[in-house]
Amino acid sequence: MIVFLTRRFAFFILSVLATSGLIFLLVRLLGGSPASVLLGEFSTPEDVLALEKQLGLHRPLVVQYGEWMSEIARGDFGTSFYSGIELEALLKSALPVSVSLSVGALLVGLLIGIPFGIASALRSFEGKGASVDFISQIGIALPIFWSGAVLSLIFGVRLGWFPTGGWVPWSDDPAATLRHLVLPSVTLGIGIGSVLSRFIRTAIVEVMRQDFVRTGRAFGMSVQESLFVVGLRNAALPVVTVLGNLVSHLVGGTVLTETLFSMPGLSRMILGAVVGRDIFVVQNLVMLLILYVLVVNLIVDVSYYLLDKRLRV
Amino acid sequence: MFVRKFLKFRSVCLAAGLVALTSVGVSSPVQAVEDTLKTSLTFSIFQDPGRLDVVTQPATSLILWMPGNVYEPLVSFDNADVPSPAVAKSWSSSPDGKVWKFKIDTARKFSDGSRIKASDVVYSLKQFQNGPILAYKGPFANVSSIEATKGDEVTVKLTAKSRRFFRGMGTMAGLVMPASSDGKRNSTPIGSGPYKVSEYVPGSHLQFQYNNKYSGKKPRIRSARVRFITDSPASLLALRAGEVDGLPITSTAIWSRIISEGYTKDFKKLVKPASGELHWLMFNQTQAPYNNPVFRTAIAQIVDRDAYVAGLGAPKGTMVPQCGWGIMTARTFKPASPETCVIDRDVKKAMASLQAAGLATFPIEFVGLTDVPALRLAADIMTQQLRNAGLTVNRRDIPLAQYSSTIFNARPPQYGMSLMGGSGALTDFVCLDPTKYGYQTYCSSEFTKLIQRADRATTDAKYLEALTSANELLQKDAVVVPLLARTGLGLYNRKLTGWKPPTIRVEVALANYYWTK
Repeated sequence: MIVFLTRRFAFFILSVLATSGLIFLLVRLLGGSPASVLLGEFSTPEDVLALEKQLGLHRPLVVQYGEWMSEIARGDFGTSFYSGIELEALLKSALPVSVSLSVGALLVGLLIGIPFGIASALRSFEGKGASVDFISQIGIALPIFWSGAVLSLIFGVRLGWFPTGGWVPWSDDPAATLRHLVLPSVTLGIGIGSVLSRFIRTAIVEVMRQDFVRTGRAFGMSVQESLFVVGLRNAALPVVTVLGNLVSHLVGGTVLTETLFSMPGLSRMILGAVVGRDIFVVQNLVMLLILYVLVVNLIVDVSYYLLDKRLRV
Repeated sequence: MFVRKFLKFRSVCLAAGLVALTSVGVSSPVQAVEDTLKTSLTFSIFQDPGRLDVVTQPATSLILWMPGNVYEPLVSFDNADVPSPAVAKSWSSSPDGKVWKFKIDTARKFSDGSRIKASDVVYSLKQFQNGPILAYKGPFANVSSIEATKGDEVTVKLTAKSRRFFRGMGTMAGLVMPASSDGKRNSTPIGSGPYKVSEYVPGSHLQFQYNNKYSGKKPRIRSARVRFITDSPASLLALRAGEVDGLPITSTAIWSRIISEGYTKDFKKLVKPASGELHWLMFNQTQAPYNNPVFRTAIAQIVDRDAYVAGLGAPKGTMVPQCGWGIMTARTFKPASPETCVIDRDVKKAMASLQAAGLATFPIEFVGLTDVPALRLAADIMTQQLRNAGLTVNRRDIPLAQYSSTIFNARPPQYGMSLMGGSGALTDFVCLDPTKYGYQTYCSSEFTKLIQRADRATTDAKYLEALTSANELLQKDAVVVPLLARTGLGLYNRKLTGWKPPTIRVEVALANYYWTK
C-alpha cells in the first residue's frame, strides 16, 4: 500500500512539474514575450522593454520559473494585470461557485446515471432497454446552451421555481444558493448522467456474464439479487475510471454553463482573462485546473487500488 | 375566562393603536403609496468592465454606471448645454477666455466622509489630462496649468480660448475624485455622487448603495444592482422572469428576438437617441490604397446600408441608414435627402472605377472583433457585401482589448479597414500631431483649424458655422462611410419609470428612476 502510494505520489509531483514547465514555456512562446502579448502585437519595442523590466521578465527563465513555482506553492497567485485585483481575492469568490456547480452537476449525473444504467442493464436481460438507451443518447447529444435555455424558460420564466441565472454566496443565504444551483447543475448533469448510464449499463452487463455471477444464479439467486450482491461492486471499477474522466472534463462544460447562467465562476474568469489578454492570470488559472485534474486522477487511482483487491496482491 | 381576557387584550391593543395613530398624525395618501413602493432595482448589462477606474478604463459599461451615480462632474450641463453648479458652485473666466476660476463647493463630501477640497479637483483634472484615454484628454488640449489658488478655488490657465474645455468639465474629463483614492479606484471608487459602490464581484454584479454623505436630494432608489449577463438571450429570460427590472442598453444581436418574442409589448420600450451610436467604415488613411479617395468612394458606392440595417435586425425607428459621408449624428449634418445623398449605390460603377485605378484585385485587410457580438455580426455583413461585389477581403478578428489598445491609445494605426461604433464626435478627428493619430487616422490641418476656430468662437452662430464647415470637409475628404445611426434601445419593467437623457454621455442616472404603483 505504502509503496503504491509513494510511487503514485511521485508520479503526481513529476506530472505537476512537467505540465507547469510546459505552461510556463507556452506562455513565453506566445508572441515572443508576455510583455508583447500584454501590450498587443502593435506595441513599440520601448513599451515592451519597459513592461518586461516592470514584470521581472528580463531575468533568466530558470529564475522566473523557480519564482513562479514558489509563489504557487505559497498560494500567492499574483495580481491581475487587467483589473489590478489580487488573483487570490478573485479565486476566493470564483472557486466556491465552480466547485458548487461541479459537485451539483456530478450529483445530478449520479442521480440520473446510476438508476438509468441499472434499469437499462436489467431491461437488457429481458431483451428490452432500447428506450432507456434512446433517452441516454438524447441526453448525450443535447447541447448545453440549448438545454440550459429550455430549462430556464420552463422552470425559471414559466413556472418561476428557480432563478434563470446569477449567484448568491453560501455565506449570504444557503437556501438561495441551492435554488441558484439547480438549473445549472441539471443542465451540466444531464450530459454526465447520460454518459454514466451507458457505462454503468455496459459494466453491469459485462459483470453479469461472468462465471461467478452465473454460479450464484445456478444456486438460486435472482437477477436482482446477483446484481446487488456481487454485480454492482464489480461493475464499479470501470465506472470509477469513467467518473474520474468525467470530473476532469467538467471544466469544459462549466465554461458554457457559467456563461449561460451568469455565474461568476472560475471558468468564466479564465474566459475573461483570455479575452482581456491577462496572460499571467491565464497561466495561474490553467495551472490550477491542471492541478485539479491531476488530483482527481490521483484519487481515482487510489480508489481503484482500494476497490480492486487484485492490485494489492 | 380566556375569551374575556382575549377581548380585554384586543380592546387595549385597539386603543393603543388609535392613540399611536393620532399622536403621530395620519400620513398623506401620496406618502403612504410612496412608502409601499420598492426602493431598489436590478439592471442588467452584457459587459463587465473588469476594473472600475474611470481614468484608465474607457469601457462603455463603466461610462454607464460611474458618472452621475458615483462621481459628480465639476460643472453640470443639461441637454441644451446650459451649465449649472455641481462640484463647482460658481465659476468665472477672464475676458479673453484664457483663465478660468472655479469656486469649489467644499460643503460637499465624498462617500468616505471627507470634504471636497480644491486639491482634490486639481488632482482629478490632472488625472484625466495625463491619463491614457485620448477622448478625456481632449478638453485639456489648450490647458497650460491647473492649480489650487485658494482652499476652495481652482484656477485653470489656457493658451487659447476653448469652448471644449469648459464643456468638457461636464463630461468624463471633469469628474471629481479624492486624491486619496489614487491606486484604489479599480476596486473601491470614491466620489460625491448619490451612490457609492458597495460591492463589485467581477463576472457577477456591481452593487450601488445610497451615499448618505450626498448633499443633493435623497433619491427614491436606495440600492441598485447591476448584473453582468454576458449571454444576451439569457438577459431577456431574466427580464421575463422578473429577476431584472430593466436592460438599459440592449445588444443589436438580440433586437430581432426582442421584436419577434413580444418584449416591446410586455415591457416599456425606450428608444434613446442620446445613448445611440454611429456605425461607420473606417479607413487607415496612412496606407495605400486606403488613403486614395477613389478607393474610398468606390467602397461607399458598394455598401448597401439598407441591407446592413436589415441584417442587424433593427426594430423600426431605431436605426437610420444614410447615404452620404460625414458624421451624421452631429447637429451640423444635413439629413439624407435626394439632394444631400452624396453617393448613390452603384456597384458596377464602383468596380469600374476600381478597375481603372488598378485596385479591383487589391486584398483588403478588414479587422473585426471576436468578442463584441453586435459588431462581429456587423463585420460579417459588411465583409460579405464587399466580397459579393467581387472584392478580395482578408478578415482578421481580434479581441476588443487588443483592438482598443491598438487604436485608441495613440498607437500607430495597423489596420486597413475596420468597422467603428461610437459617438462619432467631430472633435475625435482633430489631429494636432501626425505621429499621434488616434483611431481615426485622418490628419487634416484644415479640418483641425476649423474645429479650433469653432472652439474659440465667441458666438453660437460662428461656432455652428465652423462646425458645419468641418463636417462638410469630412464629407469632401471621404473620411468615413457612415452606415447607420444606431439609437439605443432599452427595455424596462412597466412600473419602473423616470429615465432621462444622459447628461454626460451614456450614463444611467439611477437617481432619476422610481417605481410607480
